[in-house]
Amino acid sequence: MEGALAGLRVLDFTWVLAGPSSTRFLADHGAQIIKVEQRGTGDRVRQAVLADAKPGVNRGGYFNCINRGKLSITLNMGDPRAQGLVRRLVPLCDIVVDNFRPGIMERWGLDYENLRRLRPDIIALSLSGMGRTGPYAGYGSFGPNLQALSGITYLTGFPWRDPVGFGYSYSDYTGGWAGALAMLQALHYRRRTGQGQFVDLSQLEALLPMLGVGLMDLTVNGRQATRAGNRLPGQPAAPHGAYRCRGDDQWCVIAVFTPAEWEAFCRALGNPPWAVDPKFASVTARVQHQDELDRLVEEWTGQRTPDQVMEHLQSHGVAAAAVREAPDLIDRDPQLREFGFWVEADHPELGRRLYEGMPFKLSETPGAVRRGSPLLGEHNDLVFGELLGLSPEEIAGLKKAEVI
Amino acid sequence: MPDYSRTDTLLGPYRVLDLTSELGLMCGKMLGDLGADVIKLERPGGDPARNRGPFYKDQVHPEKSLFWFAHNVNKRGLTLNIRCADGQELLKRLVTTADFLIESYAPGFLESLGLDYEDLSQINPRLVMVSITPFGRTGPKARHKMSELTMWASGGEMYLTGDPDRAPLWISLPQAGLQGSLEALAGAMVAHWHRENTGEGQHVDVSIQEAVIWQLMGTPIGLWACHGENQQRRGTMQVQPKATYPGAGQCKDGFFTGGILGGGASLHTVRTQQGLVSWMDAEGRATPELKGYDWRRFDGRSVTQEEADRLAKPILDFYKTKTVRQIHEEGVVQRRMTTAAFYTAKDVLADPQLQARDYWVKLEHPELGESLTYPGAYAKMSETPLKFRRRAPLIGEHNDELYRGELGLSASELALLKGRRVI
Repeated sequence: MEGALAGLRVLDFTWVLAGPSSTRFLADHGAQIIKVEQRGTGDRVRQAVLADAKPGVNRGGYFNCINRGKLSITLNMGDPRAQGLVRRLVPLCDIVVDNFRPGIMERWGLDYENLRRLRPDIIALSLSGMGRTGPYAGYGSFGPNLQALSGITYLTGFPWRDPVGFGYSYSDYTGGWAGALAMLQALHYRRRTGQGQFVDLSQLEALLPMLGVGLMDLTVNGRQATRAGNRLPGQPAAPHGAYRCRGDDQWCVIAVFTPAEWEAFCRALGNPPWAVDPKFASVTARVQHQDELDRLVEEWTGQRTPDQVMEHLQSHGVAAAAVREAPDLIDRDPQLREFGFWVEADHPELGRRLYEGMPFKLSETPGAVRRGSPLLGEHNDLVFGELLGLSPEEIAGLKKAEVI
Repeated sequence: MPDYSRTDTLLGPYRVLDLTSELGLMCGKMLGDLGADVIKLERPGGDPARNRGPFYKDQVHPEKSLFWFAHNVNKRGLTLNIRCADGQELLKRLVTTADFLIESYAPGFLESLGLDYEDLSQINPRLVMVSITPFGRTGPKARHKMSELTMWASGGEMYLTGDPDRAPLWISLPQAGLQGSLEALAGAMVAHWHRENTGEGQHVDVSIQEAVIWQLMGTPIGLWACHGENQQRRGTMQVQPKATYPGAGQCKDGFFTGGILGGGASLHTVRTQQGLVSWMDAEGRATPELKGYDWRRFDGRSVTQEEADRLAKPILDFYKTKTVRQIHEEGVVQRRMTTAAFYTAKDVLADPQLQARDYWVKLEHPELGESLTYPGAYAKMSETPLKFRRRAPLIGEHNDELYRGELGLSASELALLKGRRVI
């Protein structure tokens, strides 16, 4: 099965995380992604977290993960001849996507107006940190900045301590996701109407709907959401948190809402004497005495592993889950294994490697991880030769002139 | 067949039946933003998600939940009890004209009612049906009891968030159901593409646990499986092979981030550090070492603890004298530093960039006698702008319009169904 998006071609100028993750999604479902990389260095994530700690532009762990299934060509975009090659590629592509600051694509003559002259129904996506217009258009942005500006960072942590922020990069995830969706949606519209369009996507704006409830609490009630540790503002629940278990830095989360769940929880713990203390009789009372309750719960969890806590509580109908680390997810999570989540694919230099599968299963067009990430410039001959029709001599000449 | 003449929005010609709980409400909302006719089906008396706070002016009432408002914009509302035979019959009639059906019931529930994908696709082979569950529909955890916290923990994100000496953390607003919704929408769009090409519908089975893993952006595979490093919680610290140093800190009236030392010699980092040092210098606070430092040569992987401490201390002290506003106006705007203060929700609302781009949307709530402000579109599309057409539906608000107007039920039939708690 080729994947639902087979036959579509994307010219992909994005780099680092958000942009490449948006085109990864299309690659998984069969679209051909031609990743344009700067000659010599390539996407700088190529040099981050190297596989087996050996140096090389083709060994980046994150890069391999996020650019799987794509083709790579190299171009020295400062050279007018490289820009000319891109102008010849554009008519063969359905989508052109970039995550540069405003001005770069214009400088190369690849802004939307120019792209449209090359292909009238082209879809162009600009995936920037803060959008193409407005006073801060073009400001440098990374996950940590955008998350800070969205309010997420301030919301994460214990109320009596400084905020700790998000563990990794949330805005890259939501931005990449929004970019993939915008491209798909523009394709749908083009099929119906024959018209392309320009999409101006601000990663900050794509992140904010995730915080809609907190923002509305402010716009409607004037209340400033604040960090709540692992507790649940706006809905009474107790116990509700992460509890230390046996072992080094081992944790299990537990969430108890209803009276029936509380009874089941007490039963699961063998009805300890403190369970009938009036301090814990109702959810309101438990929320009031949550610190004390948490200490008692932790006395029980501390003698067990996270999996023991989870399995035992789940068998009594209580929501509980071991806090998974990366090695757990890959090596020890039976659910993920049963679902066939981790898949293997070949990489030309790294050999057979693991990749994450897709977070949803499509019954008719499942998509696939076809191959690992491309070597830097691996597909120059394919793209410039077979696709553009350049002769081997011409390609050799461009290589010699350091254009590709 | 869909009415293809409605081309002013992306999904104008298409209809969505939304049978989700809080695990999937956002998926239908976003389909509605794209112009689809989304019909939220609630049980008679109203959806349980209406009981989730916060509430409009703290009035605890099923028509005043802000959680409900935020996730049900652009939908129409029907009440329907699908647990009874008459309700199932009505649902099947609705399915004949639907293009998408999204649901987030426990695995096996719809099957037990004869409403699984197999059943519904026989009524409408073009149907794209999306199921959102915490762990997918099969496997040992498929029937685990879940909450936001358990999904967040199971997907590996929680372990990465927080301080190393304390409990792992979530962020203080529910997210896992939203992530499941995003993936559900992506799956639905791929299935829609295939359907429009071939006429064939299909089933999309979304696991929220896996959606949370995707949000780790390659940490399990890229960092652990390839590189052999199991990322730990580190609060706001940068943990490098030879040194640990702050990536954020306190300012006069809040907090800031900006990679005090960055993590490598990227252009942003160099410009930020040079801008910072010249700002410090202008106020006589730059140490000779900072002034002479070649930031292009800074490498987080080789910097020693002693050097990191020496560099960080005057920088941290300097930021303590600056307000959130100063960091933004002098640091970000004037000196083009890639730094940012930790915005509170209030700061986000006041942000001039979002205002200049007309980000915020006002929707009228006639029952409340006012308009409420919502976060806006996630992308600006030149031909098919996302539109916010209507506030979330009231309980059964469109029962007449759809059951009578479209399915052709009479007023007395409707009253009877209502009396029997079918609708």
